[in-house]
Amino acid sequence: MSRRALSASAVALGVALGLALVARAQGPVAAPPPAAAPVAPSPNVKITIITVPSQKGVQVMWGKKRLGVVAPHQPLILQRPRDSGPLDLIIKCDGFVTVQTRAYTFADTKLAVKLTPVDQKNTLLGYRAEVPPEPDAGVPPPPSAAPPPGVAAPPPGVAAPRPDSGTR
Amino acid sequence: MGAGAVSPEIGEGGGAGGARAGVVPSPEATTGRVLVVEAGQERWMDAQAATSAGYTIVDLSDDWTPYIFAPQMGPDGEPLMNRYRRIFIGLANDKLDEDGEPLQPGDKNYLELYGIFPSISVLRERFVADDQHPCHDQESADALDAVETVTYVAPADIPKDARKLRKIREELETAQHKAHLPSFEALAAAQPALAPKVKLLAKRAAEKPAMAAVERRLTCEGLLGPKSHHTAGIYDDAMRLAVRRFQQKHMIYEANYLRRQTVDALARPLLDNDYDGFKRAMRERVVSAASILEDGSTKAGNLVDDYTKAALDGLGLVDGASTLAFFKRHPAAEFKTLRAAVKLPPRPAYYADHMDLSIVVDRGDIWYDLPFDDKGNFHYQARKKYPQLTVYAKVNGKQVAIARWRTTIGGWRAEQASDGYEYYRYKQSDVGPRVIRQVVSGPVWIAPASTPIRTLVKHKAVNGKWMKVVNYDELGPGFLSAYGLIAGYFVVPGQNGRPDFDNGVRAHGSSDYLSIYSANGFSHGCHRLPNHLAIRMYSFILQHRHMRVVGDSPMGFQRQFLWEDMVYEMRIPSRGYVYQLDPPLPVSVLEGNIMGDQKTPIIGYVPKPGQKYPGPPPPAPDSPEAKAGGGAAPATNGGEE
Repeated sequence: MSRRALSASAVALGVALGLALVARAQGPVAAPPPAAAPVAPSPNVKITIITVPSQKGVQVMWGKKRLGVVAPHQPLILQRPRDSGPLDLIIKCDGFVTVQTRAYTFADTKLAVKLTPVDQKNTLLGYRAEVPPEPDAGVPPPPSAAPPPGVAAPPPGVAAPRPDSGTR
Repeated sequence: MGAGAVSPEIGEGGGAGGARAGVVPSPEATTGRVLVVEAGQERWMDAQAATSAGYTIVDLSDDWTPYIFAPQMGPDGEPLMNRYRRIFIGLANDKLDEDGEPLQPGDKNYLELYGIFPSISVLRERFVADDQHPCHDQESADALDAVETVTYVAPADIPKDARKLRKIREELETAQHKAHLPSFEALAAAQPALAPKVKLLAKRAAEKPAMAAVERRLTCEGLLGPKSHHTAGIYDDAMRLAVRRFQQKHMIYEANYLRRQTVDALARPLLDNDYDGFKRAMRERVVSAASILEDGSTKAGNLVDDYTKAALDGLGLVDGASTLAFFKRHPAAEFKTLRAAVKLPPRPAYYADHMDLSIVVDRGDIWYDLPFDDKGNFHYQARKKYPQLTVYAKVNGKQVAIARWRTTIGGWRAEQASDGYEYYRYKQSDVGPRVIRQVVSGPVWIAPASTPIRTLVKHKAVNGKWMKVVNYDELGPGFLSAYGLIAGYFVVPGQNGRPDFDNGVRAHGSSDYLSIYSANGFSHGCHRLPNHLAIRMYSFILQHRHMRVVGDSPMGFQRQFLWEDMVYEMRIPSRGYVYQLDPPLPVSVLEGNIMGDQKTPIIGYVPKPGQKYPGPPPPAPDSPEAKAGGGAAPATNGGEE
């Protein structure tokens, strides 16, 4: 699908994003301002991308195009026309499993994308442990052990494997 | 959230025209001018005057949507955001794709089968173009008229099929020679046992020119082009896709083969098909304008067809030629805002602003037995009575069925367990009294963790690159989503201050019409309706029950999952656009007829035949999220603000 040109720019904010919304000092509650006429929303929205944990050199791709880099304390901020459809993005970082995510354009959005180290992908939903090999198709079970749950016992007459026949 | 519009006032027993009997027109609907046809002459009339004179205003504009996506105001008088309305309109006008991104120039959506009818502008363009390129010749029509269907032979089976036909031919020639008969037809008459083989050969011979006619027609309609890589005479993937597009264009509920309705439509002149498409689009707009539901599926009559015919007759749009003339009289720009005023028949006396409506789902014949034996061989579990959903109106103390449609119930479905492997699980459709308190348009389905991961990823072209992404088609909002374009949530009402109990069952729209109409179609427990019927039903309910428009329901849900060494992150910003029925709509789900030996559902996971597992099945989750359609998942601490 053709898309409108994407204006993307990495903007160093210099402050953590969490500070973007500055907490007001405690004090007497001021009277609410008089109701103002509704303000037309701006024609563009801002999409702010950070990663958790924050890492160096996180690349953000949109199809063939590299939109920019997310770095610690340096989110990537994209601008898109309001309500112009979603952006399907790829987030890449060495040592972490690549993430495909989506940003919407209904309103200003912050995306905090969780990165998972490659050696911890077994913590993710959908991870499948390997099926243990069958007794006659690889590593046999220890002779004294019962077959693992769900694995059929060797048929009668099949000799118990020798203690030294396992993997080395 | 805020109190919104309530159901419109409808004069009891009034006619369908005007403020008394139609939906009370919004201020926008009664301003400006409308097209009226009187004594065959078109003229413009003030909208307010038209409604006062008993006309019903039918919106023919490009921005029309059914009621469920219509603009609504919040209590502050500001319009409520409906995230899907823009996409619905863009899809109907061939401007946007399913994600709301611009469609490539010249691309068409063809989404009637999925509940989104083309705008009148799109149909106008189709009429005018087809008038220039009729795509219809007598030779092709004759070839298609000579067959009812065209046999599907998979490309890989063509040599085998040819050998089979050659063998039959040789057998018949030998028999004909022995019997000294002049033809196969004479042989069939003399030896009836051979008649089926003679008939088969004749049918297959007639199918060859029919197939060529199909190719010509699909090519002319632009559905089968040089880029399709179709091999002439073969029902290959290119042909299958072209036939599917044709069926989508003409709202034909058949699998992607050349079956009877498809062949009939291929044989008709384009303008005839275009007119049928125009009638279907007008039908939804008339149904919406008159706020009716009775479609002939019960003894309550067929107001849908009667009113549509009245509207078309009133506007003089009675066939392809008169409609083409109408489109030539009115330039494309006029359809951006065009509305017409028509006189419609009076509506039944039981119509009121708040009707005593209810829904009954009969589950039909139920099999709880495993669908395969201990050797892993699957067995078809025949059903004579299929599940049905009926809408009732209480009239003078009696329940009157006003619409009844086939629906789905749950069955044996693949589910992903916590060990990452798929098992079978019986997905039950709950029985007993329920209510619908919430109706959600443009709903999203929060795929429970037990959803097979493979179904949650799809290929998509993203900025010029073909890549795998989260399958939002399935999640929604959208016409392809698991909940279709609208859903009503079945709950057991909470008592003594307790919240409602939601077991994840909904009655919702669906694009998976084969699951609704095929003999072995099932859901995960929900009751599916074709999207356009679900839209009609809920639009009717919302317009004839007291309700509150809640509006967009933000949620900020996110979940990551692993598939083939990549993490996919689903992000869902909203549950959809919520309407709250007050009082809720009563629902009753009947048990149906339990067939087979197993009289109660099997609980838990059942290993799939032939699949190897790392251990015994893990326990099946029992949360509402994991049951039936799911979708009751709470919002997480998503990283989206």
